[in-house]
Amino acid sequence: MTFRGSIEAVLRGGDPDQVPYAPYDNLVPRGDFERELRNRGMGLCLRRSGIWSESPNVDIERKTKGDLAYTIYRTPKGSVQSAERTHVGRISDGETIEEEWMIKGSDDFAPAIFMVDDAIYHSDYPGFLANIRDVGTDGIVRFDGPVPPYDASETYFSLEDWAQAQHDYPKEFAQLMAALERRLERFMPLVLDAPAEFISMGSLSGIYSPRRYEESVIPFYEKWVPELTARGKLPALHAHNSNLNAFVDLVKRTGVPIVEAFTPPPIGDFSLADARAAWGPDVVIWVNFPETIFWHGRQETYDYTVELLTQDKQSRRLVIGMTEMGSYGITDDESERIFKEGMRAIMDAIEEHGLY
Amino acid sequence: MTILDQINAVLHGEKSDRVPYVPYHNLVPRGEFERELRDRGMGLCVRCNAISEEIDAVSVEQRTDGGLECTIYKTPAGELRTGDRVDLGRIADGGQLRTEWPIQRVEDFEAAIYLIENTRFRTNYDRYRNAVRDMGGDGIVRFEGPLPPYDAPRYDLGYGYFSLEGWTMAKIDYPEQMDKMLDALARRADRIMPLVIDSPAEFISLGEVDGLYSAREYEQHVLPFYEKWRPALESTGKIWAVHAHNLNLSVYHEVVRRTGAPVIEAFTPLPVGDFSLAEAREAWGSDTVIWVNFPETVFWSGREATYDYTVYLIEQDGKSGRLIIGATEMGSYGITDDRSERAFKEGMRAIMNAIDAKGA
Repeated sequence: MTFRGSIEAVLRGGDPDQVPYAPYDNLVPRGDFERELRNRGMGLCLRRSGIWSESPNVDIERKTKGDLAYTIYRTPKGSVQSAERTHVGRISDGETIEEEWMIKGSDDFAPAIFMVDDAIYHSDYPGFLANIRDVGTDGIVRFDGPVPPYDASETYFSLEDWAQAQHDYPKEFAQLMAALERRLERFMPLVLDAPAEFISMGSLSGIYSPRRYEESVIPFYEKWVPELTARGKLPALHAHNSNLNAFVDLVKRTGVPIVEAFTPPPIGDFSLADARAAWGPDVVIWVNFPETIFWHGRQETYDYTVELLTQDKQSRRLVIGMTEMGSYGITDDESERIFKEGMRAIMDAIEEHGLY
Repeated sequence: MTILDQINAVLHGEKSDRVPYVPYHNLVPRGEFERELRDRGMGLCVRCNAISEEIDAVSVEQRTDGGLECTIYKTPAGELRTGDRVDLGRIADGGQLRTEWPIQRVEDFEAAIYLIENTRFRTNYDRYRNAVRDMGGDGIVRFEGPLPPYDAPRYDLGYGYFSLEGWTMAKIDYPEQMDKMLDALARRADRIMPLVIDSPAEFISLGEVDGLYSAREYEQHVLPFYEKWRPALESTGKIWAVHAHNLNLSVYHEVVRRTGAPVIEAFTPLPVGDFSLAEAREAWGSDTVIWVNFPETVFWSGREATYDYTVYLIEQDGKSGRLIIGATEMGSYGITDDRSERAFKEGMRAIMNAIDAKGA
């Protein structure tokens, strides 16, 4: 079976021949080591967009000052500004980190809401399909799907400001939410019509309470998961939070068929066995393998992987992935040795204990 | 020998065990076919940008409307505007094409010169080192150097201050302003070249030959750049490549030779270019590395024709030990439908078959 055969079997409830090992493609840069792993059966998960957007009535201005790159969004309702620190190296995708967010006070809501309402979406399905053709059986391509409006609102604020804004500016925040809902309504038809089966559908960051998640986010999934699955889509929730114990039932209530980026102990607080027991036999659990394990050495990494497989291999709904670091985390000789040893140990364990 | 060993052997004039096949990495997207070729010995050439530009007193404003992205550069000396059609798919790297260029009137030169004079450069050599570490023995990483000042105006700001026509006319209509612009570009080159020379890279790119103006003009305006920097490049062990992708090398080969570049890359032989590999070898000598851009149009003639063509190339070069076969324009990135998929895959496999059979 090819990699793609295996992973599609897992996603669709078929019969894979082994537990797939599927890091994000950007986390395993091309080279001799990446090829070695791919020749041993590691596949790639490509995250790609098939929808692009424009805002015809918003002028976007960019300027730099030293390491800081500022972006100013000018709208008929005023301007907002964000900033990123650049040249930070491989501590993040794109080698940047956010330092300033658009909404800092009550005056910033109106221009932000204007921007949201001004967004127009266009499909680029041929571009998406080209990725599927390129990767062939060596990977799977995941379509960038929708994000719950409540979670989308967080991107306009620092975390602290977002938390406080909901209390300090409830009226404005509600207006922002309404605009994000309208934007989602414009976006979703393009997702539903997309020639994609596997799609992303939001993240669970665990940075607010389960009660808030239930009130503000679950309705999104209750509305859209049935529509997506009726159209043959397989939406995936990126549940990368380390406090899943408090969110177990809510994850189940989303109804998503795939829970991705699941990070087991010792990083997360919820074991794979417990997750399986809680979410049932049909949900695909796509693990984010915690690279910190690598620093304990080859044998421990191997044993850890075997433990994961022992906990859940029989479900035939398990994928082992990497959603945070992979070999992209290699920055010097020591990390190179550690990470390569670790990723080889994962493959050894899958070859010896992950076959069906 | 790893693929990197083979490439380095060719670049250093040592003995490689076969002719390397090394497309640009972005022209062979990852997938089962790419892995098949890499397992057979195809390497990858990664083009690494490790020097970034910063201009503090300039803001860049963008607006996208119906697939047209308008960008306005606001400088203390005035504004410049570009227009690019975006999301055009695989007809160009980045999927976009310029439709409006910033220098339209004589007044626009001042703002352009301001941009050029106030550009600061920042190195990120770790990006290069990481790329080398990632690639390991499966390919080579090429450090991207600048263009000669005379050619920069047609490429800067993401494909040019001028359209080709605009640039040609500006040289005639605004000679004084063009001279000032060239002086500013030369000073900019003086700021960036030391960073290239100080970089930890051995293999670097340094300019292109488009063939869009006369060889005499190239001699007059471009060769001095190479003559100026060649001593420093050679003394620091740099192996630099000129991207000679023009199709009229029959009139250019002498000036290309005079650049002194140890690597002539993107060389596109007959039938697409007008200069054969044998002629190029004779013109440039036995020590110059000729890095061919394999013309994918040959694929449409079928597997056998592609195989024969590749054998012909290898034979034309007469076992120089200084030949690399690459793809610098399309590769399997050119696949857009079932028909092109069949033709391109057949073609690239035929190249590998020929190298396996005759390229050792």
